[in-house]
Amino acid sequence: MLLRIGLVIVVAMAAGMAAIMESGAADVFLEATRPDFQKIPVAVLGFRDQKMADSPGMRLTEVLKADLRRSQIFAVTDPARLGLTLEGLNGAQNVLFKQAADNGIAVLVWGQVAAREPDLVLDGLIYDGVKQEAVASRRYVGAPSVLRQMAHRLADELVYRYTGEPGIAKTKIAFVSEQRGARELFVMDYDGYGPRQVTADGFLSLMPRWSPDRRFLVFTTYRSRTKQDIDAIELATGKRVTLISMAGLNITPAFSPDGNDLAFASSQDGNSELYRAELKTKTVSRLTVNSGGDLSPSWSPTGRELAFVSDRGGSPQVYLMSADGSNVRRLTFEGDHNAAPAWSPRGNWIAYVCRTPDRQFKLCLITPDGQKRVQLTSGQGVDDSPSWSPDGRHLVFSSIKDGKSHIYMVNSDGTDLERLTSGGVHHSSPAWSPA
Amino acid sequence: MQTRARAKAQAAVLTVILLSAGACSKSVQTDSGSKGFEQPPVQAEADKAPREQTGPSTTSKAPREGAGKEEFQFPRGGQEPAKEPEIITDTPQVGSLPADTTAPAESSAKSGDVRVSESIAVAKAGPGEAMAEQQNGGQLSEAQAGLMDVFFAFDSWKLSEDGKQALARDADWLKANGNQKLTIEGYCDERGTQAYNLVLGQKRAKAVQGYLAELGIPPTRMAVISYGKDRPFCREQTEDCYQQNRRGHLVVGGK
Repeated sequence: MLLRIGLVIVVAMAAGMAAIMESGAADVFLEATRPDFQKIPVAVLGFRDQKMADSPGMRLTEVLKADLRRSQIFAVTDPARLGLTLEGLNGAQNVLFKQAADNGIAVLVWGQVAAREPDLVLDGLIYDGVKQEAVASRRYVGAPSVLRQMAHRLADELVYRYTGEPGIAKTKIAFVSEQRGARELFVMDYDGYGPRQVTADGFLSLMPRWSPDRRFLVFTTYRSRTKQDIDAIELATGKRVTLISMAGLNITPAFSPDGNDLAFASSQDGNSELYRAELKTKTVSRLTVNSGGDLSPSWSPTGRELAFVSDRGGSPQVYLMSADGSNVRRLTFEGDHNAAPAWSPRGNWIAYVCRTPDRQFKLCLITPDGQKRVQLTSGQGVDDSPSWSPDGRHLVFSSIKDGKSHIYMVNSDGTDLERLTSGGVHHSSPAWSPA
Repeated sequence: MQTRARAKAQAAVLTVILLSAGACSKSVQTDSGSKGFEQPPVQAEADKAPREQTGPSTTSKAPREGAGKEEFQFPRGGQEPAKEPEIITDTPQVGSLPADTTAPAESSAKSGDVRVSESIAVAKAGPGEAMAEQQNGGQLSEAQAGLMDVFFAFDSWKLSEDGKQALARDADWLKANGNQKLTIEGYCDERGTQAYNLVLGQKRAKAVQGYLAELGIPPTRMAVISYGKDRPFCREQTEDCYQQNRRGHLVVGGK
C-alpha cells in the first residue's frame, strides 16, 4: 500500500520555510495538479565526468531534469541564471548554498560520474536549501548502457524524499507496435526510450497489462492463428504460458491489485461476458449475465470494485460493480459511446474513452460517484486505451491521426502532452507499469 | 455550475525514510533506443472554461483515499439485485504463472550502493509468417474459391440484403465444396476503441455464421474469429476505406 502523504511547501522569497505539520484529516494526499500547489524549486548543477566520451555528465543532467519536471512535484530552475555552477562547488560551498537558498531554491542536486570498469559509478548529492544542509548522497553503479536508468533512480529518490511516494521515472510502458505487418508487444521506458520487443509471433499480440509485481504481461494472443487466448509472458525470461483459453473471445485481461485474480472477457457463453479467474485455486467465476456485451474490466485500487463496459443499455457505457459481480450500476450517462475505463491508482478518477458530440473519440475523466466529469483531450484523432501512471498524475494513451497511431503521455489535468513513440506507423494499447 | 470550495490542504507528516535499495538484479541490456520529442499536435483544452477542463485539480474537497470511495451508491439508474457469482462447474483450464527463478536482489546494504540494471528478454523472431503474406494468402484463397465477403454499416452487425445475397451464393459454393472448412473473420473500421471493436467484430462474424447455418451449412464446418480493427484491409481515413474494413471475411481451408 502506497504511503499517502500530503505535502505543501510554501517557499517564501528570502528564506523558504517548509511547513511540515501533522494533518488533522486522515489520508489527505498530495494533489500536485491543484492550482494552489507550489512546486518545489530544484536546480541541477550538473555532474562532473572528467570529460569522458559520450558526455555522461551532461546526459545525466538532461534526463534528471526531464524526470523532475514530469514528476509534477518540482519546478526545475536553471542554476546558471543565478550564477550557480558546478565549478562553483570547488570554492566556498557554503557561499553557493546560501546563494541558492536566498534565491528560493529548495533543492540542489549535483554529483559526479566516474568509470569503474566495466561499470559507471554515479554519486548523486542532494542539498536542501530550506534546511540548509546536505540531506543525502547516493551511489549508483551500473553498466554505461543503463545511464538513463541511473538518472531515473536519482529522480525517484528525490520524489520519494519530498513526497513519500515512489517516483515514476523508473517505470515502464508496455505497448503494441506494428513490425512488418505483425503487431507485437514491446516495453519502453516511461519517457519513450529504449523500446524492447517482447513477443515475436509474427501475427497479433494485443492489449498487454502488467502484473502488480511487474514480472509479467498478460495479453490477448492469436499465436495459434485460429483462436484467441490470454497468455502471460515473464519479462525477465521470456517464458510464456496460456492462462485462459475459452471458446470465442478471450480479451481485455486485467490483474487484480493483489495479483491473485485475473478479470477478463470471453464469449464462450454466447456473447461477451466478464469472468474472474482465481489464479491460485484455478476457479473461474462468471461476473455478468445479460444479453449485452460486457468487456474491459478495470479494478479499483482496493480490488473491491470493477469498472467495465457494457452495451446492455443499447450503447457501450461504463458501469461499476463489486468484484463478485453484484451491485452493478451505470456510471456514464453523457454521450452515446463510452468505453475503455481505467481506474486511477488513487481511486478518485476513472479515465475512459468518450465520443464527443462531434463524433470524435476523446479521453474523459469521471469520478466514481459520477458527480464530476471532464473531457481531457480534444481535437482530431481517435484516442484510446488510457492507462494511469502509478502516481495517478499522468496518463498514457494512443491516438490515431493521419493514418498513424502513436502513444502519448499527458498530465491528469490535460497539460504537458508529450508524444512517446516515433517512427513506424502503428503503436497502440499502452499500459503503464506499477511503481 | 458547481461552486467549488478550494480546500487548503495542510501538510502532513513527511518522514524522511531512507529509501531501501530495492535493486532489481537482472542482466543488462543495451540501451539502443532513440527518440525525438515532437511538439504535441493535440492540445488539451485551453480555450474553454479552464475550471471544467482541469481534471483532478478541481475537486471540491480533498478526496479521501480508499475507504468507500468506489462504494458510493450512484443515485441514478437502477441496480441489479445482488447475486452470487456463478462458479463455472465445467471448469475451463486456468494456466499457471511460472515461479520466480530470477536471482534475489543483490544486497547493497554493505556499502549503500544501488546496483542499477535491468533486463527484458528480447524476443527472437520465430518462424512465424509475416502477416501481410498471410492476409494476401487468405484473400487469394477466397478469390479462388469465389467466396464473397459481407459488409456492415457503422456500429452494426446486422446483415443487409446485399449481405444476405452474398451469403446465399457463398452457401451454394460451400455446399458444392463440402470438404472445405470455413473461417469467418470479423473486422471493424478504425474508429472506436480497440476492445469494443473486438466484440463488434465477433458479433459480425457470428451474424454471418448464424445466417450460413440457417442456409444449411453445419456450424461444425465454420470457425469464427474477431480481429476488431486490427489487420485492416486499408488504412486511409476515408469513408470508402472505413466501409472496406467493416466486414465479415470468409476464408476457406482453416484447420
